[in-house]
Amino acid sequence: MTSEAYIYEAIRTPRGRGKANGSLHGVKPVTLVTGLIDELRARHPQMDTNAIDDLVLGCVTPVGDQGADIAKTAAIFAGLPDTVAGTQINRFCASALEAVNIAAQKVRAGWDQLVIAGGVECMSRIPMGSDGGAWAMDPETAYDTYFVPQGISADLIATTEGFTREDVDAYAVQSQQRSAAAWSAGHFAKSVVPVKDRNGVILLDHDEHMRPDTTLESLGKLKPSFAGIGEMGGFDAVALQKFHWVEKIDHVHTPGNSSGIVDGAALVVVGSEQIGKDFGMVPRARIVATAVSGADPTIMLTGPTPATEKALRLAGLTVDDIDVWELNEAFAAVVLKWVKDFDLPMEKVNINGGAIAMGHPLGATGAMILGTVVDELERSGGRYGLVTLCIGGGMGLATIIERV
Amino acid sequence: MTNMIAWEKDADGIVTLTMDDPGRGANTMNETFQRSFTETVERLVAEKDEIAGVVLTSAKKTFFAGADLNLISKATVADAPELTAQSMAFKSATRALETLGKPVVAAINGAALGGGLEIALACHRRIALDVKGSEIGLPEVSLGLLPGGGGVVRTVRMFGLQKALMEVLLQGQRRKPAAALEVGLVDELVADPAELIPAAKAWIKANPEAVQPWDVKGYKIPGGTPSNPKFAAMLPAFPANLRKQLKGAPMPAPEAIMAAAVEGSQVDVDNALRIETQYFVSLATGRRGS
Ligand SMILES: CC(C)(COP(=O)(O)OP(=O)(O)OC[C@H]1O[C@@H](n2cnc3c(N)ncnc32)[C@H](O)[C@@H]1OP(=O)(O)O)[C@@H](O)C(=O)NCCC(=O)NCCS
Repeated sequence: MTSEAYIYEAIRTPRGRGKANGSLHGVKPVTLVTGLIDELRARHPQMDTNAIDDLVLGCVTPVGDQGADIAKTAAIFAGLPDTVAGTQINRFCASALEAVNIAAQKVRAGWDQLVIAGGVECMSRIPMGSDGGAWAMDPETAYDTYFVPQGISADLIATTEGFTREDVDAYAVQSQQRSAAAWSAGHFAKSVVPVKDRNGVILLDHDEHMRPDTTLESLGKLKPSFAGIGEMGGFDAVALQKFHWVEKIDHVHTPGNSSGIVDGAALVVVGSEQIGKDFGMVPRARIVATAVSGADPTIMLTGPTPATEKALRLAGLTVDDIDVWELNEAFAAVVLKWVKDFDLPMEKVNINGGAIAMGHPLGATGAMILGTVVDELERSGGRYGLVTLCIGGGMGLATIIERV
Repeated sequence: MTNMIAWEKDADGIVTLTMDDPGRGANTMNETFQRSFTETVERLVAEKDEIAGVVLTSAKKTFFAGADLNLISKATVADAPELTAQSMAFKSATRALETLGKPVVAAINGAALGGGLEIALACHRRIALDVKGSEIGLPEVSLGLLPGGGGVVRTVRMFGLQKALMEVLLQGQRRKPAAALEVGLVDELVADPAELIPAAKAWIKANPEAVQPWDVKGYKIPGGTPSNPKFAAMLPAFPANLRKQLKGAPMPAPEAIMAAAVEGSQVDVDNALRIETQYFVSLATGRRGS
């Protein structure tokens, strides 16, 4: 029997600084996930875990401690019933939102009734890119397809769109201010589950990458992060050979206006209407539409625009229908371009801050920001929210939800 | 048909093989040579118990002049199976030579370019005569080709990917014997032609068990391969910088060389040689345009 897909719960860990001095560096990825599974069981004791069909987790660098299907590993280690399956997926930066979308598609197809979706990434332990891959590592593939790293793509977007260093830094200041305001107003109180050690002692209860005192002046002092690889690594030349009408790349992105490297995990409970009735759980939002799109792989991070268009079309909605807009802050220019493409009012975009301030744990972010939108719709009384992320390789993913 | 490689065994059991193409002023990688080389290696294998070692040299002014460009420039996509078979036949002969179990020395009496150096690279030691006009290197890239006779595979294993690409393969540097010694393409120089063969024989007597480094258990390519995190961190800049240098010029050979080198570094020697042949044939037949 087919059904609408509903979101019943959305929780996340706080985000730890993605370095050896980060508070979560000593915590295993599998433990971040099982901690959240424990929280789900505590929050919903009436939910029969035997009804869970699958645990779908995003993870972008699935090697080492994150390798070999961390989803099923976590399901076993958390003591979920043996019949609960688990699969790890990789849609790069949008992996956890893809996990939610897959869960929604399973439920709407009627094959599964209850799916836990989300993701995990411990970037302090498993560095970005350490899983290799032909696009960056195979010379024939890289050469023929004009591979460049994301930072170069972000700088290329700023260049082609005419965003200055001041523009992107101003956006970064806003991200810091909004994140700080959201934290102090308690907007994350419902979703954030502190990470504890094995004795119940709290290791981290807040997003520790934030720098609320950031100003335009302090950001202005930072050196561009990607000018070096652009020049010495040859990547500027690669991008400019493809975008031959561009004269030179303006390297505007710095550690202050790029997404932070952090550790974290998130889970979302997606189920049919019947599941809510069976276990007395109240749906919080309905998943209205899911959309994925490709985009040019070299400029790479422009995919949110076609994905957003596709999701709106599938949902039969227009830009004006959306009350809460959320685009992962991979880099400031990515957000500015998308806002420009749809002429969005900044008061409706990333209102609780984002990854520039709080960090972007690659495989988990999509579920984290979906949860932020669920909470925001409930708080503001808005109806529709749209969540989207830019994705490596030139892709975009979008999900539209409706508060119920 | 006669064998163009003369066979002469001395009292110590050392066989001196002298390449001398009767139809040409220089030895080239033509059909006569390929057949002669295969036959000669087969005989070495058959008689190896009575052999102490092998010296490979040339009766011409040069050691070996490389590929026969008349043959290669006429190749089309339809010739791919034939070219592949030829290339692999030559390579299996070079593998048989370097795994003979007896020391093999290239006595490089004059220029060894392209295929000539590739034959020498399949020997355990290279001793070059420091003679005016002699040049050593793998200049295939300047002809739009890649060293398809094991030159990519063996220089990568001798020097590591970065040095092999930068100093030997991508620019096809031709070096005087002294410079070739310095970069490591040859192991020893002699000044007088009369010293060449005695030096080769002396090395054979001192190294009766010669084996290529890459055929020793536990061998690792110097400087690492893509599975090494340090090397992997640098690798994406290789093709990007190549693109930067070529400025978008439609030159498929350097990319093919880089690809063959990197891909070959991730598998065993024999598969690496196959990959090298595939890229070579794609260039020679014009399949791999820009
Ligand atoms: C941009 C990037 C390379 C910076 O990494 P990093 O250099 O390790 O960043 P750090 O956190 O160490 O910050 C570097 C410096 O900037 C400073 N800095 C960072 N944010 C700042 C801020 N808001 N205000 C003032 N200074 C700041 C830090 O204090 C540090 O200074 P220090 O070197 O004196 O200690 C990295 O964040 C990145 O790659 N982000 C994008 C991730 C990504 O690609 N995700 C996928 C998206 S598609």
